[in-house]
Amino acid sequence: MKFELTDDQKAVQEWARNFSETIVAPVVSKLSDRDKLPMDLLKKLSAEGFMSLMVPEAQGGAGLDSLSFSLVITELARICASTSISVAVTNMIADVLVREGQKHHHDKFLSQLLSGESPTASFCLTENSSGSDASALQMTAKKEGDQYCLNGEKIYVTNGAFSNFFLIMARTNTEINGSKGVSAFLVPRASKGVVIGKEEDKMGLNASSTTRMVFENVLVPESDRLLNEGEGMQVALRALDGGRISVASQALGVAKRSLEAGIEYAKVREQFGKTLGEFQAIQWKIANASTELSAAELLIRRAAWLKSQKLPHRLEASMAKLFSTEMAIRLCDEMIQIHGGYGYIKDYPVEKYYRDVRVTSLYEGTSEIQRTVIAKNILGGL
Amino acid sequence: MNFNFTDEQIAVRDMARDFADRRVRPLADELDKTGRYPQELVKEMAGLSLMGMCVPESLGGAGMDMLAYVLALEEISTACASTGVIMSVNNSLVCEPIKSFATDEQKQRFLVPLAKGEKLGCYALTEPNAGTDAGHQETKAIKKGQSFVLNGTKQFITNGAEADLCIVYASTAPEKGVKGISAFIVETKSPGFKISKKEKKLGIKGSSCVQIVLDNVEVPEANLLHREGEGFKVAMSTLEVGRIGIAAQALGIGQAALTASLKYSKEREQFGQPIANFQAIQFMMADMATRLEAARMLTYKAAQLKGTGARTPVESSQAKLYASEMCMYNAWAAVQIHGGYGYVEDYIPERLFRDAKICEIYEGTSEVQRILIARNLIKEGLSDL
Repeated sequence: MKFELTDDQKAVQEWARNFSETIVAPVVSKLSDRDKLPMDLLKKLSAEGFMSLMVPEAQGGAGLDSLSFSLVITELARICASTSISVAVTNMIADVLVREGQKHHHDKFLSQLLSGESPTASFCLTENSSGSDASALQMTAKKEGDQYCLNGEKIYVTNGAFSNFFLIMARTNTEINGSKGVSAFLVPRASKGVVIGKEEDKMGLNASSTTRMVFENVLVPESDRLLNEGEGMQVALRALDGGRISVASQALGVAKRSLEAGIEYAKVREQFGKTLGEFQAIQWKIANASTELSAAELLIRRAAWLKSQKLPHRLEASMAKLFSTEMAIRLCDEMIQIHGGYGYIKDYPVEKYYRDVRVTSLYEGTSEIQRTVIAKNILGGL
Repeated sequence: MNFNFTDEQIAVRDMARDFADRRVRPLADELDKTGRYPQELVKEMAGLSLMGMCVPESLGGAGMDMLAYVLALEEISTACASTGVIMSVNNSLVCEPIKSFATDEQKQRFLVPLAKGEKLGCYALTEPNAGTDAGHQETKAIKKGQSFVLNGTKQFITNGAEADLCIVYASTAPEKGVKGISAFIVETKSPGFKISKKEKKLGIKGSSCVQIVLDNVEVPEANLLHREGEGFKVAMSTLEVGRIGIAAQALGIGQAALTASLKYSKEREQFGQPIANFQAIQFMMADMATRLEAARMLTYKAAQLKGTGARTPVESSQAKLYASEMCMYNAWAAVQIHGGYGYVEDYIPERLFRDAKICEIYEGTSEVQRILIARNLIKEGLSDL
């Protein structure tokens, strides 16, 4: 075992940190709770290569490994969680296109991410009645000649307001319940019948776009289906496997920044004639936070490393996601506690970290789903 | 970065696992019930080069890296935490400081037989009034000619009843506080070296834990370990390795708790189905497995770094703190999953629960680990991994 980053990985980390601090930070620090990420920032991220991080260099991407990708998401999340999720989801779609797509998919869709024509992309799986039970989705795709007619509604579509195209899971076989009747489609925003619904009003991640989407008789050519009919859930689950590592990396980034803020505050705030950092009660919080943070970072790196080696990593990714997100939520809560009343008001950043990070144990598989995945895995292994 | 074990590490782990399954696990219950010291196992472990794993082969050891040592200790502790701590003390607390701080002559005299397992070591830092505040040493060492005369009482000394050699900390210059502390290698057969009490413990009953009274014990100057007045430095550096050892022991206990729970939950039926089918049970085991892996990562990282010769004040403390609290949680959960059967001696979790608790206490309580971690972070800030 060797826990040190390679020089290349360190360089990627440095690049992402520098971009986050010098380009992202000045923009997002001016946003109000109602503002979304400016298109201009998304385009800059795209132009710099952040939207196609793991796309092979031969196909115009940055060609990074999973571990480097995780480092980038963490660095972005340290500065802006909303930016990190927009970038993470877009990369997830780029990876789907590389992994599952054919040349014509690359020409029509991947190229838009590489050129910045579509600054982001979106993943449409969740519906009103199907969250964790994703394969119970009800949106339909009915075959009509050499095209499909899509009807249904999707919710919690990250980047809904920014993306030029969407990856959509819809049921091509309504006779079959569950995953085998589901297929994956790529749908341009400009298609007739695509309606971008309301922006959700969220607790955190306010600068990211999260919309509902309605599809009314949207016609999609057969060639815009990925893989075969009935293989859509496989596409989705493979995408989510990587998504878990990136959400874990996002939680880690927010937690790091929150802990940095907590330590800084503990050094300067004085009560009873001593700095907070001199009290054991506060030391405890910092010690617990940093210990769990280190453990989370190592779990993430191992999962990402396994993925980059093309080794099985479903169990490890679920463990990394479960541990890191729950750690981050606890940590961000404790850093508010260190700040006392100041932690509750918006002049200090820690309340925002808590709101931003809270979602991480919900999306890309709730903690409950992760525990189910882990339990099945370890019970099967005995 | 890579997360592969070397071929050598895998071979050592497998060898230790085989020995643990074959020889240690069958005795664990008896050792716990009788409090008997497993003389025969320690001898066999010496034969397998498990007693001086990180000592160079030229000095009688196995010449392994620290991660291989951690993997072996984890396997032994999975079977029996008492046997694990006997091994841990000899390797981490006795062989390591002698390897790092002794003269060549001392290494030949003391380290070679310790590493070969011909002699057993113990480590005497704690005193009745110096637990977490280890710098507050009341044991005195007064220079007399070519010797030091030691007087004082040492408390909670693991392996103390069986050891041939003991690393003893004593103050050679009380007015200098921690800078007046020195370390000595003391032969336990020395006149005046007396075992005054054998403790009865909650768990790890197969290892001895004694109080030692030093009554005018004369120790030759040649047995001074490192320089006079630099004993506390030896102690702190040694504890960095010791904490990694306890973390490895905790990993073993935590794994044993998970293994027992997985097995039991599939066999035990309630409401017409195995209890493994219930989310309440599944989720406890998912948490056990996840925390165990998190603890492994911290421990392996600390071991790998320590193996390069680096100081690891934060890494060792984080590994020890997290692994010991994980193992307490896992043991608690194993008892809970076993229900009433978890509370009786016929099932393993009852012993694991008692054994686990010590990991949060010895070689620095959880509280002192937190202080060390926090002080370092407040001083140095958060660093990249």
